Amino acid sequence: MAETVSETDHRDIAASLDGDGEAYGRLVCRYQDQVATQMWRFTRDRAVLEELVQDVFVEAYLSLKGFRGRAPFLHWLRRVATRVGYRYWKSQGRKRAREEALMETSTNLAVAPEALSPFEAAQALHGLLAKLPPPDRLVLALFYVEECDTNEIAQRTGWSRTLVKVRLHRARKKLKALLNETGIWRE
Amino acid sequence: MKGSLKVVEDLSARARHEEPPTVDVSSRVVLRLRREAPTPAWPMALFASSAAVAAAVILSVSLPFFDMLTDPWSAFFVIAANVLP
Repeated sequence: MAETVSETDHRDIAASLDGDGEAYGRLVCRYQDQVATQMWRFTRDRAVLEELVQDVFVEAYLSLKGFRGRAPFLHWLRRVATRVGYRYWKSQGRKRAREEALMETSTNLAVAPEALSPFEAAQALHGLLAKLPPPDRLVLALFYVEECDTNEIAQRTGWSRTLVKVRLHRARKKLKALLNETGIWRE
Repeated sequence: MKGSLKVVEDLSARARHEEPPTVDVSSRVVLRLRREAPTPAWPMALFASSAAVAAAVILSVSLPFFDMLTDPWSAFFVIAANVLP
């Protein structure tokens, strides 16, 4: 049986739509950790993280009427979060990100990934992907870090499955070239 | 291509174990929503419907007077008809 929205969420969503701020506050409390985990892949700055998590819940509230309740609330929130994170990446100057990323990656990947702590690995991966344009970066992050398949990526991004496959293929090629360029991996 | 991206797979596997910073944004979200809440549409709708009712009343009152209006040239034509042979 397909997962659906829980009774508690359903009640709080209905109350939020009626203007009950406390009900929406409860929804935020319930899901802010999961959303923060997801948004932490879009930034490594704690202050920005808090802003992004807030943006996700504000945007979710403003489009709450569009939530049909066919899937769990968290699935829908993840789509909103992906949209917010992607927009954040697009708003960032690529030049600055590239410069910072280059430094981080070469420092962190001097050792094998297995020897890195989760924090260092995430930092290095973030730096590596930051050198790619936002669409490539997003598709790779969803595929490798979030372990989404093409269907899930299509759902999260709103792109068609064909577009996801094409972007994933191109992004992997670019990533491979990047790994060669930085000397992290050579054929 | 698979071999070259092994390093990315390994990094991703390690990165998934990372504990992200904890955040508590519930009160700030609610505060922001209260601040950013769109202005309700009902005052404008109320004003528009009152204006429409007032316009309808004025129109119904003024319609009978409309029949009393005459052509400003009619007096001229009446005089002209009498004067001309």
